[in-house]
Amino acid sequence: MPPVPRPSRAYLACQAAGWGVYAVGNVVLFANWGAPVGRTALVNALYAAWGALATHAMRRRILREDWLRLPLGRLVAHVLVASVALGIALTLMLVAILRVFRLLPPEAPFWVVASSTLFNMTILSLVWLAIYLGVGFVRRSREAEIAALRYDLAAKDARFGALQAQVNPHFLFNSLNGVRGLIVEDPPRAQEMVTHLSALLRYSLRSGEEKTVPLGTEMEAVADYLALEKLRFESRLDVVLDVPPDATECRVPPMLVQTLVENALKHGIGNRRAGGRVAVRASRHGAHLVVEVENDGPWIETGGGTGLANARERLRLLFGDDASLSVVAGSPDSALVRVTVPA
Amino acid sequence: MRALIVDDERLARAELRRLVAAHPSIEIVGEAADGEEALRLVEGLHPDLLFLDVQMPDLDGFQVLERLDDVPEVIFTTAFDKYALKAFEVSALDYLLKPIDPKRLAEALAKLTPPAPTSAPRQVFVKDGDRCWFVKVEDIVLLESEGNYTRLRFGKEKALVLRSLSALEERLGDGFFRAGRRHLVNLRWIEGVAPSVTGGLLLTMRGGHEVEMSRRRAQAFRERMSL
Repeated sequence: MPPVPRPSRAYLACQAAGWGVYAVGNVVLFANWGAPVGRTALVNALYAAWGALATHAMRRRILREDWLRLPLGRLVAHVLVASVALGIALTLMLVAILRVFRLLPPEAPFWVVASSTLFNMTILSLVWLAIYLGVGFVRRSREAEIAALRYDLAAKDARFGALQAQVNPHFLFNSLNGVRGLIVEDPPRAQEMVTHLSALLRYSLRSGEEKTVPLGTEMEAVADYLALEKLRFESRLDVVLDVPPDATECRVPPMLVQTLVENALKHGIGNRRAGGRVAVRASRHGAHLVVEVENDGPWIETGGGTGLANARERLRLLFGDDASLSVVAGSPDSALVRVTVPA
Repeated sequence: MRALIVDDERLARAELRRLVAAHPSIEIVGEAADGEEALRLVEGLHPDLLFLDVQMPDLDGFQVLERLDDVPEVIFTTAFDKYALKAFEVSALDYLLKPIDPKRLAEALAKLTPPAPTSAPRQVFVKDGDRCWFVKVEDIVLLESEGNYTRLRFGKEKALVLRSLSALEERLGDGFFRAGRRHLVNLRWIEGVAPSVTGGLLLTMRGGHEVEMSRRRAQAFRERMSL
């Protein structure tokens, strides 16, 4: 059997207020009919105390048997039986008290008084049970709702983490291989490349900490990335970066532009023996920032297309419908990807 | 040994050249910057060994091998490629991860056996989905035509290759016999020959496969074997 939790303050306050109002109301009503106030007050105080005790025992039973989890049919049956049982308990006490204090109406037959009291007390018990269980149900559904929200939030967080773009390991090791070669061929350039690689790795490792970064910061990482790719592509890669000062403060998810540029190199220029040009352009249009990445070479939607799909999903999680990522031009010799985010 | 380096990055080729310089038994006879060039140079230079980058524009390393009639020894080089690494692990092919560790290079080179001088193809490269093999020509038991594809049986394995049976027949040469429209058999792997109900011959290959031969092909077979 589950342990019965200690009654909450709210429960105690409600019990006290409910039975208090019931008792005071009775005294006032009876006083209007000319009943002796002292005696009816005493009777009602005793009776209300008994009612509070009896329903408190009922609470114990409800919690023990976990009525909130019962199927509806069984719950209704339990409630009906319980209200009659409570009604009987209340009636017995009330009749006993009335007898002791000689307040039973002398003209009415005893069984009429007893049965009408039983009927009233059963209805009263039913009301008590309805209020008690109703509050329980509302509270439980709120808790379930909160749990679901928490779960949603955690899932969203986890999903966002998984979607977080990282430096592509293939690129990383190719760059390291290039640097190893450069150490012999061109030591100053090798040093420069180690600096670019460090900056990019640091940026990538920190990218999980913040959901968005200023576009200016992202573009520094893109520049590091492109410097390293130039090592691989040599004269085959031509770069154009056009980001006006008013756009650098706008916030974008970290590694977003980098992912698009990487995609442009991998699927566009990487497949052209002659190489080509990649251009990154940003501009503000009212409440939105538009970033375009254009590359020579055909547009190829690769198997998974996970880079772009992840970027799109990240934008959706962050900005909902206020952001978009679309492939604008898919001509045979150039491709353009456009991202719009709130500025 | 004469080796060819295939890699789309100049710096990577230069770096590998420097590493190989420590091994006087290996002579670098050429460098290819993409798959097409690699095919041309292999056909022209007949190297004994390929250092082959997996990821290249147009033709990747695997595609290069699939197009070669005569596949030399191969050491793959790759930076990081989940799919390629999986194929390597499945098939226990030798590969080097970039940047290349000189010790690993020495180990890979130590495993190579000096080539026997021969004009016949030594091995073919077969890739079927995630799995790939270098198959010694003498280990091929049987080839079966499957439309545009051919099923190769070797050891306990079988694999589909995108080549017609006739193209393979031309390439594999003397040790094989065309047993019918659909079958090419390795003569060394024939275990038993029995007359068939249709008046031809029924070949039983080592490993249990049976190949039926028409009367006409059986006649050619008898002539070939009596020589």
